[in-house]
Amino acid sequence: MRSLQDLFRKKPTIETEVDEELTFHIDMQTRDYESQGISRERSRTMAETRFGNVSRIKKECVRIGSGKTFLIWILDAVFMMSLVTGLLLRLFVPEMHVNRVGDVMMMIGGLGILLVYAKQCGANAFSSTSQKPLGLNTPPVGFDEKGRTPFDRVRED
Amino acid sequence: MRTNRTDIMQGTLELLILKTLSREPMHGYGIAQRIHQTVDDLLKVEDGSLYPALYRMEARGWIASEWGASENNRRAKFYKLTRTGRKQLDAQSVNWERISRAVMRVLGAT
Repeated sequence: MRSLQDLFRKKPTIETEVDEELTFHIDMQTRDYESQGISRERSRTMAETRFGNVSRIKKECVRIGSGKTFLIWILDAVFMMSLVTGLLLRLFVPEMHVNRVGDVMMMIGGLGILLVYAKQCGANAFSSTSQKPLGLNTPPVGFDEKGRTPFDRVRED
Repeated sequence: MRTNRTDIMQGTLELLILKTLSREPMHGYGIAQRIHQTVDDLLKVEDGSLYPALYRMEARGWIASEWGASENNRRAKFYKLTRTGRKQLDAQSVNWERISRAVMRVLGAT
């Protein structure tokens, strides 16, 4: 049910994803400094200083990350042209063999658009914040083999 | 904190990231922490410089990313090494060893 809700939710842009990732890093570093007994404000300042120029880094990441989006845009345009050309051939050219070509072009265009859409959705459309990363053979940092966090382990012990 | 830290070169940072990810998938903060722990402040690695390198490496197909939950149950982007990345790690490690051997030889000769 959650996956269906996520599927219809607005897809995050590269800017929001980069922003979320960099914010996560600075927040974690702040928390780390705080655990060493440093005040919240000072921890935040230290974490930001250690990170470097956030806006410059964000811009650079967006520039690099949107390279993929441009490729997807090109593919989308090619498949859409194939679909429209196929449809026009099918409607306005009476010859049988040209109709067949139109059918094939429509099929390629339609399938291509679906594939590009599926690729764009990727794991993001089906991910939720409450689940463990999918498809990874080894547990990520902090998780044990059973997928428990250190907090879970302390609670269970 | 040590004062005689050396600024890190772009290619070297990529090699460090590849090596770090060869053990297990990690989020950006985890990678930064692991590198800092390993190099023990001998190299100056600015945390932020890690991210453009990660995005570049992902665009080249050396690493793949996936959103998941972090150790404190926050949404985080996890990176893992791809097959191409593993080959790249092997090639870059060999290259690095060759360069360092050559430099050491020159330094030893003068």
